[in-house]
Amino acid sequence: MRPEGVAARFGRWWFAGGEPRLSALDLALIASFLALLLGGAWFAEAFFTERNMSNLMRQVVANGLISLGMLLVILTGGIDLSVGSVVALGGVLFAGITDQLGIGPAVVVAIAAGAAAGLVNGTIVARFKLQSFIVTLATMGIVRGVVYLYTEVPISPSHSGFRDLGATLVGVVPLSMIIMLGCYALVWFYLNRTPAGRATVAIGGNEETVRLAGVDVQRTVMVAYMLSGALSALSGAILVSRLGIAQPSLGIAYELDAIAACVIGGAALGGGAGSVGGTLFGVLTLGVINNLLNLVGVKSFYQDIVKGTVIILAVLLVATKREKK
Amino acid sequence: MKRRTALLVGLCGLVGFASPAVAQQKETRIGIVTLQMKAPYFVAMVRALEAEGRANNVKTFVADGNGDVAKVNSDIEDLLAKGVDGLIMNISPLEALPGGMAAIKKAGKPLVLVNRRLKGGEYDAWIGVDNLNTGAGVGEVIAKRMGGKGNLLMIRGGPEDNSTGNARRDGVLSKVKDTGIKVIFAPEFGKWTEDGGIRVMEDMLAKHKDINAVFCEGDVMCLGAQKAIADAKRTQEIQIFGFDGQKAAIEQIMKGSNFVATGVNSADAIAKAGFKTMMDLLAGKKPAQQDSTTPVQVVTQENAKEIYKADALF
Repeated sequence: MRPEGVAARFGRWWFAGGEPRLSALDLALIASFLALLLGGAWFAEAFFTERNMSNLMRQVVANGLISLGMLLVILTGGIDLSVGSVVALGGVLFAGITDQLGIGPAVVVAIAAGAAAGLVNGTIVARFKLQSFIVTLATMGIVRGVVYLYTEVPISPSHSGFRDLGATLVGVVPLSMIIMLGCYALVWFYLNRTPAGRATVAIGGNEETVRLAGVDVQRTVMVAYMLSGALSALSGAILVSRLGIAQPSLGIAYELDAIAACVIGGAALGGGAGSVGGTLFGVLTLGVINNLLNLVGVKSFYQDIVKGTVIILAVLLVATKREKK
Repeated sequence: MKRRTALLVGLCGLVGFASPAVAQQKETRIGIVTLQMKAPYFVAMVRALEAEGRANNVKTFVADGNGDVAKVNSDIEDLLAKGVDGLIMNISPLEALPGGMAAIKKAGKPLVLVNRRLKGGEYDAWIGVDNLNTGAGVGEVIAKRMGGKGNLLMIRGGPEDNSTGNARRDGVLSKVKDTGIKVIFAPEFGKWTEDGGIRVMEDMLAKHKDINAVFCEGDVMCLGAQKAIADAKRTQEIQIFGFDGQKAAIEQIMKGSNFVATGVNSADAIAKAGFKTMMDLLAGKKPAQQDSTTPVQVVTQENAKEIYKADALF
């Protein structure tokens, strides 16, 4: 079997954008990731232990869900800076309602609130044609204000099942990771197998063409922002469950890690390129780097420098790849 | 292209190379967990704990949450995965972290809390400042210096459930409430920054023409308030009382300015006591009592010089 054939099929499956082959640069990214894992295993003896792997899986869920929503928005050519505030919104609502209504209804309310925030974002961006950067920057502040109005102090529910969502293990795999992978599968299906999802990817590339093809662009964009809000709120609920406490100050600067994960995974800020698989890769890369830096004992200020450098390098690689097309 | 590939591969290896290789021998390893290192008190606490580590021949690993409670939780998990023998935590101003504390309990490692006594979980020992009684000490000085009458402005740090700030406030109130002193609470929080102190004080100076003294729950806010008072040219009318024993505050007290007194909150003393307790726990000795505090001490111009440490970090 010629290597090109295998790579082509793998590439087509991997990249929703329809890239016909796995380029040398993609292989370089994957090789680097493997080098990272091996280097980590060599220098941090605790890395490949069951306990650390479980922790790592739990730790990436928060950013994983937020990045998935961010991907949807980035594909349409926009950006959602309000995700961090929506994480807090989902978290405090989940914690605040659990004692009265129970876990299930509380999660539903949290997700609904996130979707509502996303709907506001999407409506203003799609219908009134305002820049998503400005709109979501504003809603970032508004939602945070709403969170503090709801509760000025952290909420720690006494419901015995509150910590289940974040702490339960199914074998060695955390329940939250299973939920996250489920969401990834659903969004992958949406983007690759449904007309509305495929339109989402196309809108970032050329909105006019999509509109002329008869797609309701406004509604598609609104759905993207709603999903981003809903996923961020779900992330918040899972996060506070893991921590055992919901702080109104949660989620500050989370949008940056989400954007970083999408970009490392090949998304273009401006729309038209990006994939679910790539985003998952980006999320895992960031998670592994964070975990390794801690295990190896790198001082916190160096951690920021290392992470920032890795992001720049990843963006360079992705940009180079795009230039060659 | 080849160069770029090599660069990225090299950088990923750098993550592993960026720190000395993991120690092979069986030495004691302690994890130090802090929420942030962006305020001098927290830096001082961490450095003091690290110094204790070196003095005791113990390897310390500092995990800095960078202000994010989720990162603190992950840091705790990673330190436990790494196999540290015990953890010393100061995640002020967080009041509770049930998830992280449960993980430590589950791993069976000793946990010593310093500075902030956390709620919602089990711990082996807490060492901190006796905020209530030291606050009462400052309150006594306030009552005396005000002659039992006048208007006392209180600037709180916030947020509403901050147990440290509340205890200090309650301590002061316990000594002034039976006097003729009228207490005015600033509606806004000073947020434990100098900037916050300046802003709240400016607003209060504009609103109240007749303030005789101001108490801030933290020296850092007092230092800001002092500037606002000087700008408004009311330095002679208003005395300032604080808490924390910050170096700059003690300097002001020594100089004989309108900054009159502050309560001592010594990161060095707390770190020393905390570390000793951890070493005792590792040797199998439980502390005499679970919660203990450093001695109550108030700084006034009389004793400022002997308490002052020129090379202090905080």
